[in-house]
Amino acid sequence: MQSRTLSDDKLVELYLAGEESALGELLNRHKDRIYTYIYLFCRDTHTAEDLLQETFIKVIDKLRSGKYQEQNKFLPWISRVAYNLCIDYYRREKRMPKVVTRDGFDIFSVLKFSEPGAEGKVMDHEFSSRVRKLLEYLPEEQREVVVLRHYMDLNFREIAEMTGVNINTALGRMRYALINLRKLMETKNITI
Amino acid sequence: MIKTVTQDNLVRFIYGEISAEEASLIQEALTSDLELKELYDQLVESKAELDKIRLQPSQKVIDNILNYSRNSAPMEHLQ
Repeated sequence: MQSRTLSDDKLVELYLAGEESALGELLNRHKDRIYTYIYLFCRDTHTAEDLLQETFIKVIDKLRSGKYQEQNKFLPWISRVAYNLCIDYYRREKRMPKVVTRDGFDIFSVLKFSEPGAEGKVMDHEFSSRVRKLLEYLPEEQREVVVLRHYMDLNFREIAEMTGVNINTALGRMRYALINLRKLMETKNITI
Repeated sequence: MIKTVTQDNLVRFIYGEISAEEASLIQEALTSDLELKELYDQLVESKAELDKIRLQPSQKVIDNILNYSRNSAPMEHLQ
């Protein structure tokens, strides 16, 4: 199967017909983008991987139950699944007590690096710390538009719909986010 | 000129979400309006930095997803 040239919808069709490799190609195409989005949302490698897994398991279940009816909208569709899981996580997390010492040190940020098989995560951490330096200075609503546009590939109309604002608000947030990022790069001498 | 080409439209232009007609108006404005061009350059530079960000999940997560699919496949797909 020359899966790399097939559309997402064709791969979905093949997958539902029993072609498991079609799922592999869909995953390969979209995993980094969705993972980056989720990571930038929750800012925790372990949680991001859990949420990525949960996203695709939900996608598999929904595909099999015939809940994907949209045409040529596979990425926005899985983006919405990931977004909803991130929102659920955020709501849960807000209720969960954090284990932070008196000087604000998050114990779990150290525990993550003692997990087995975490060597790949060290590079991930170095890279993502630069990302965080940039994005964490942004107000939440600006960061949200940035990650939805850049890493979920949603257009501004879709972002507006997903976040419940009008399109001019979404565009304005992106403009301010880009301007603020530029200022941050200059004043804090941060580059990715 | 920055008043006739709205800043929101400039953002849409940078992200390729604008009609060809609007795009050509903005391109024309960019050649004659220094203030607009300066804003455009700033936005494009930030956008380029953001485009460099791409994280990868571990292979273990991908294997878990593929295993889930294989192990929960509907009966009619199992030979």
